[in-house]
Amino acid sequence: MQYDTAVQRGKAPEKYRKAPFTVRLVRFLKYIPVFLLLFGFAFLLLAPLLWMCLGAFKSDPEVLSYPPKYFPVMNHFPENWANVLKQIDFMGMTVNTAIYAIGTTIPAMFVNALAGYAFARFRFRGKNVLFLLFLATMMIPFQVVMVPLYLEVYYMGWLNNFWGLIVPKIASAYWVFLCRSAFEGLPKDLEDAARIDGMNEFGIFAKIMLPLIKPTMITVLLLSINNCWNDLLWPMIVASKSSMRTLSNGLAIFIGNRTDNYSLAFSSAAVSMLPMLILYIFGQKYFVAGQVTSGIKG
Amino acid sequence: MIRYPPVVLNQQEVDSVTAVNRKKVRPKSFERKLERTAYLFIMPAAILLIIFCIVPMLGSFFVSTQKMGVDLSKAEFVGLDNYTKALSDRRFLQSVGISLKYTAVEVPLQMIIGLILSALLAKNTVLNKLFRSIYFLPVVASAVTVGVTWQLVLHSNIGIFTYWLKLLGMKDANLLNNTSTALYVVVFVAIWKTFGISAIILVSAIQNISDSLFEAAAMDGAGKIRQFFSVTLPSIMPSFWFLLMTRIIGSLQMFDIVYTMTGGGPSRSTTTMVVYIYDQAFNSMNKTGYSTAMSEFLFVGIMAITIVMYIIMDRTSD
Amino acid sequence: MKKFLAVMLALTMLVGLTAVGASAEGGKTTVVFWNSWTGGDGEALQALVTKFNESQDEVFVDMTRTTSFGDMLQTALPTKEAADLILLNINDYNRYDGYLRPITDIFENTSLKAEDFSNAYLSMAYKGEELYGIPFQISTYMMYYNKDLFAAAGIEELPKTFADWTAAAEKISALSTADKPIYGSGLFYCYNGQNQSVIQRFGTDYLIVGDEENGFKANLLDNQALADALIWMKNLYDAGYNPKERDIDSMMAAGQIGVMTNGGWLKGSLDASGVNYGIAKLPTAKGDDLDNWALGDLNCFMMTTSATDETAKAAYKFIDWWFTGSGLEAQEVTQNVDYSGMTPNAEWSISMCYLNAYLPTVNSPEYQAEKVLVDLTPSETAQVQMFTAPGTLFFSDAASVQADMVENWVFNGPVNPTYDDVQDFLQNYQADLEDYIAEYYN
Repeated sequence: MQYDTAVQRGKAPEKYRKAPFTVRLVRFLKYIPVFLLLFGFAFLLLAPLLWMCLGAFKSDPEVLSYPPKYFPVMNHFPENWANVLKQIDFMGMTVNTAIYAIGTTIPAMFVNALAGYAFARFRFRGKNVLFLLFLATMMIPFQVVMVPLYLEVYYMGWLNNFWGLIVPKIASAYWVFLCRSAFEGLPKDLEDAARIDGMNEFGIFAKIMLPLIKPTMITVLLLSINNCWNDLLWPMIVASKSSMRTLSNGLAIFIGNRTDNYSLAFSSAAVSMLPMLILYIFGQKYFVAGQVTSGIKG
Repeated sequence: MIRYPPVVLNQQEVDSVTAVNRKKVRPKSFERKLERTAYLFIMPAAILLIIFCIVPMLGSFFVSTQKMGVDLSKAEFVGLDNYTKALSDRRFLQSVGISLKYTAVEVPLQMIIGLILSALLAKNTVLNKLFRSIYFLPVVASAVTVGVTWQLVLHSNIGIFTYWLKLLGMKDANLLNNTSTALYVVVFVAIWKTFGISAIILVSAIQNISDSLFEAAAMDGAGKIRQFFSVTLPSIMPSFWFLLMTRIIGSLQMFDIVYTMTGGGPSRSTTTMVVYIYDQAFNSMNKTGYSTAMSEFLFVGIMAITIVMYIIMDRTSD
Repeated sequence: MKKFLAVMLALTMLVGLTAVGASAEGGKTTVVFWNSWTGGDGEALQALVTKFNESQDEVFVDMTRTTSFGDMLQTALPTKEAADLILLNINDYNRYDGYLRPITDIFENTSLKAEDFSNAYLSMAYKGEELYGIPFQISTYMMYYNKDLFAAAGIEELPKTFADWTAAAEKISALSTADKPIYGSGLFYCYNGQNQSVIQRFGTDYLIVGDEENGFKANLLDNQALADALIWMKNLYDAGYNPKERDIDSMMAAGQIGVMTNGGWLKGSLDASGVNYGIAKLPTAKGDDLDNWALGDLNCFMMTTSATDETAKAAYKFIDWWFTGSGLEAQEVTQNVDYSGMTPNAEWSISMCYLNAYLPTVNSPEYQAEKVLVDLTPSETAQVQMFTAPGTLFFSDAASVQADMVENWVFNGPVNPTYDDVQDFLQNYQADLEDYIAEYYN
């Protein structure tokens, strides 16, 4: 037991740590190429974003100068940010976006997990066909269904309010599929013990199964909020009222057809990335190894 | 004498080791009750999907049989004409080729890189957590921001990446404005943007593998790499299939990144099907029906690929 | 965790349901105004709209600038949920035909008079007897040149013919160093508007000529002027005088381009960049008819069928203010002319470097003091329309064929092309245009 929990906490077991020096040295040297690979990749992923964040502190001509300047001469961020605020209602947009994101994600987590659970753990007629039908909803680009969907929301009277913005986006075959894969990874006859104890199916789902796939549910939470946060087209067409404007539209305002206010675009983009980043770092602590095994041992 | 720590196996491992082929014996009424429960659980999602996805999709099928523009009242029924026209449209066929080429490069690359890096990052060390956070960053940025930033970074003159490439000796580096490299640049940026999702899913799948499996393999003398292939890979199969299928579906429909970076150019070399569909709908007066017909082709194509993958996944998962 | 989620959900639903949103406060009529003027010039537009809203109590213009303009219109127009007022390129009229509201009565309901508008431009906004648009922005394509580079290359006269252009490009490109590459010529390979403004000046005429009664004819083959234009263009690229780059504007702002063509919107970023630039008329094939060309786009205020009579009247008030009201304070004071308090139309036009269709503005001292605009003023018979004749249904299709054609030519065309090379190359595109003619006018 002690052995396993030590590994779960990310620390190598005693034996591993107290190996002779030469062995540890060799292990360290073997790690170097791995580290270089990870670091190189991380640099590649980080560099453009760093460039963008630095751009938030520059003025427009500095962003466009040649040869490229890495660091701004002076901190232009306050005036860039003031400019951004002058043009868009950043706070209001953030609130709208947060409502959209949270209002969609929380029901989505339950609705889609429920369906994913059913696909993973039950046998029923038409399972494969139904699942492929679900998948089919992911296979058509949004622009194609945009007009019929808009007409539907219009006839429901849900234009320009949060019902129309949120409800159509709750169910998603993508999350159903993800949850299904996660539930499939759980041990085979987990439910049987609970059924013998007299628990009903929904109880099994809610009290046993769902907690076991916490990392996946956190993933759904993060990715779903992120999708809503960056969603441009859907909010624009269904909630075109200016009081319901979302952040993504605010960001797009600084990107003209030919003239780009790079420094303003970068400033607003950098700031709007912050909540998502905080959310992700916060969510990291829920990614703990070996969740599954803890329910079954012994 | 070497003492090994006691290995505790759970039921899943017992089953896989003893390969018990048990048929569940349950009373018929219980089976039917379970079936009803299953349908009940699926209902909320199914209702929402039917109302808000399936019905508009059916609507789009209807639109694809029309010749129409923005004005809905001027729609004219043309049957399957839009479909036959698409098949003889050289630009459409070119876009199909480009879409296939794009997906055939992007998906395997992303899966392989994703697997390797996730395996390396699975342990919860501080360094790994840092790397994982960094890898997730591009996912957090919006597609429009990503397109604009990359376009500036890869600018043939004032772009910072081009500048570095020049410092490394490549004098004529002009990656975006080059018909042979533009598509690969788009592949690169697409992988860059969505890599974090693959990483997050694969890492949590790997973390779900019981450590005792690794121990057992290590005891049998398997090195790290062997362990990867015999323990890690088989255990994360469901997540792997999920990623593979959704990445294929996603990459065939990728739009925002390519449109903001290259607009489909240079000279149509990055005009994938979705880009062409969008172009036709907006650069033409009455091609709404036509572009919808082309998206139905895309839909059928994706469906066919998915069904094939689903059958393979189903067969190999038991 | 569960409790937290439940509370968040409840809060969200509560806020969502009760969020009503700012509608017209206290008796003001709201005019919903959509356009795609994102980016730098949109900022000025927003400032002007805010000024209007603050300056009176009857009308509130609720403006949305968006990159999803087309999508929003496409979904909302059929259900009459779209904006009341929009900015639209006159050539997009056919696209939204059926959803546009005639505004012929604007002349009765406001102080604006038809005679006050330049006939060349206003006539483009008529469909039959009904007026559908009031000119808002004339985006004429102009020649931007880098004065420092011209001086350094020893070129004293601005190019008047395309041969001059090539010569200047050659001299300026010679200034290029490893650290700072310089290109004499800055044509875009990817924007058909800019390219067409140059191509048509060779004397090519429209891509499709003719009219509805006598039939249309695709005009790519057997067109010497077009062949000349394409050959000229290709040679610039092949000789290395012109970069292959989508974003020439940034290079111009970085001082790396000798001459280029773009609309007035570039002026703002060039001003901010500090580059020593100038603006002049684009050259032509012969060089003696520079005044006869004012190729560009005309964007108009238009109203949609989503507008009610009430909102239409309110929108008229806004449009009236645009031409006759008082714009932003604290404008520039240059050339001893005080630009503050000009009409919004004049401010828009002068600060952004757009020609103007409203004659009182054109004749005003502030406008006349703008040497660039006065220089650019075309003759009354200048050719304004690009691609195909105004009102033709195949306009967008022809324009996108041109985009395809030019881009393919630049990247895949033969080096040192001849007239016959051009004819071979254009076969496919001629066929495309003929297909479109058949489709729209069979």
